[in-house]
Amino acid sequence: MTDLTKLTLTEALSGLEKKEFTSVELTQSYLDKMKELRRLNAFITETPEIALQMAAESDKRRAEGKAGKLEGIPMAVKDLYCTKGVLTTGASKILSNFVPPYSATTCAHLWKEGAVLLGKTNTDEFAMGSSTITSYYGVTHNPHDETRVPGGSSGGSAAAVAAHLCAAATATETGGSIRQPAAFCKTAGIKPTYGRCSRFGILAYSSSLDHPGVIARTIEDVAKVLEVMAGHDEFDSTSLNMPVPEFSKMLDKNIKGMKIGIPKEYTEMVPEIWDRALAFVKEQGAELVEISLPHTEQAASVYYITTMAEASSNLARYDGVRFGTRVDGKSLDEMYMETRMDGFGAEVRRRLILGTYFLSAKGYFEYFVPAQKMRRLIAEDFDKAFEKVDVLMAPTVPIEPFTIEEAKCGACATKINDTYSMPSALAGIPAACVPSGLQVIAPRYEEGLALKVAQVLEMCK
Amino acid sequence: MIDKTIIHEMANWVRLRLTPEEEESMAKEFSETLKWINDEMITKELEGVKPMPSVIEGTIPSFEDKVTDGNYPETVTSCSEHTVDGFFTVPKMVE
Repeated sequence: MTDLTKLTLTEALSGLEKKEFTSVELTQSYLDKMKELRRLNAFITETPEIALQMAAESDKRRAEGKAGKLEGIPMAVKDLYCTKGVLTTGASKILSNFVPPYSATTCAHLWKEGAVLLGKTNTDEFAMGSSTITSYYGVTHNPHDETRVPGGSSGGSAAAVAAHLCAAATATETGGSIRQPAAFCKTAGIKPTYGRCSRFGILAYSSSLDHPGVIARTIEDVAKVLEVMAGHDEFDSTSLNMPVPEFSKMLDKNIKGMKIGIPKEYTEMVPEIWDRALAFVKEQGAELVEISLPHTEQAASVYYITTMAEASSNLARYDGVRFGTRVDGKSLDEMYMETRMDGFGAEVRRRLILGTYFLSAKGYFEYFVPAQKMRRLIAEDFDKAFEKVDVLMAPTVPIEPFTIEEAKCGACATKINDTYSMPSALAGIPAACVPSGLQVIAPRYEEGLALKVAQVLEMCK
Repeated sequence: MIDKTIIHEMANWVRLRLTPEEEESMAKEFSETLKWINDEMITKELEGVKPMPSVIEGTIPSFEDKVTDGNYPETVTSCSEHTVDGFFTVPKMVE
């Protein structure tokens, strides 16, 4: 039998439907590959027994004619998503013993449609980082060059997809944490519209910016997973209460007559494929229009203030009482402090301290409120752009993956990494990215459009 | 300008501790960051702009204030290593 891990998710679904192999066989292939490439450190927790049990149940459902949309597909889950009965750490020591009694809504959707859990992928601690270097469980290696980082925070998911350790993986993004690792590992991905996928059961970092999403090897695979994960959830007050389109059926590879905006602020540093991609979309019948997003530079400041402030509030829950590790103290206050000092890594501690300043009386009015005003101007930049064009096309990241050594000495700041992704994250609009390092940004709720254009870009070699 | 006293206070608020050297270094780093933010973001253009703390604008849905779930203390306390009879425990606070 050929190596089943080489198949895309779509090809694997087809093979399962045609009974060319079973989910147990497919799952075992991935488990073998995970064992072979354990040195990449893509997973914090592997779940082989659960995977094989889910796969066997899936094969039974398929035999009974009850196959779901992702029936039998082995997937990895970022370790920020709660998974019932399976260790969920957020890559933090403070949750090194946390086995949640419930699953994130998005995971529940995946299991309902037949997906199989292979394990939980590495991330920066509580998603705070761009390289997985802040993970308590060690850095993940980029499968294309193991001396380099996979990006982050969803670096474990991107590495697992790129190394064929899973058919697809869940991910999350606040400022670039899906798109940057997807680009670094040459995979596809999507950060959907804010609220499209429920945040319920996902460890909160920055609630107004946390976007659950997908990383996979092709845009078609991304679309198939997204349409299962998405949907309204009454347990998330910001969940969109609207129907979820069948994104995978919107991929008709036809962009004739479409207007594609090129933000001039995003073209200072472009990937090698850039000029060919511009020519390619023109050949496909699209019109290119230069666009300006004038508040791009300010996005880093807004992101810095917002995420740190929200994190300092969200992570107050880790106090050693209801879940997580505890370090005893002589008093309640001492127990809180010793627990948090022992459980949080240096980067998390730094962000919580600085974030607290932005929520103090002085910091709130001098910085937090102005940041939210600037956020509106950034969002309005996109609104104005979409009056002129259908979508925007841009590089995903302005840089190549940096080495693990560079990451350890902090040589590559988030400000540079996420320059081309932070503005659209702050605006809450969807953006799909392709393995060649390009992204398509679309108006709110138009994931289908972003994916459709991205699939055309995927064809450009 | 942020000095180490402010950093000390912020750390205490989030129940974290720094050495005096760390306070000094974080105060310096944070002051530089705030200068960058001031230079880059705080402009007259912001006057009169309505803040956007969330992209979901409008009213957040609310629920009727009634109990619809619960009565499984063992599940709720299952994630803690410090429980007694369905309750979380903390260090003794009153002698």
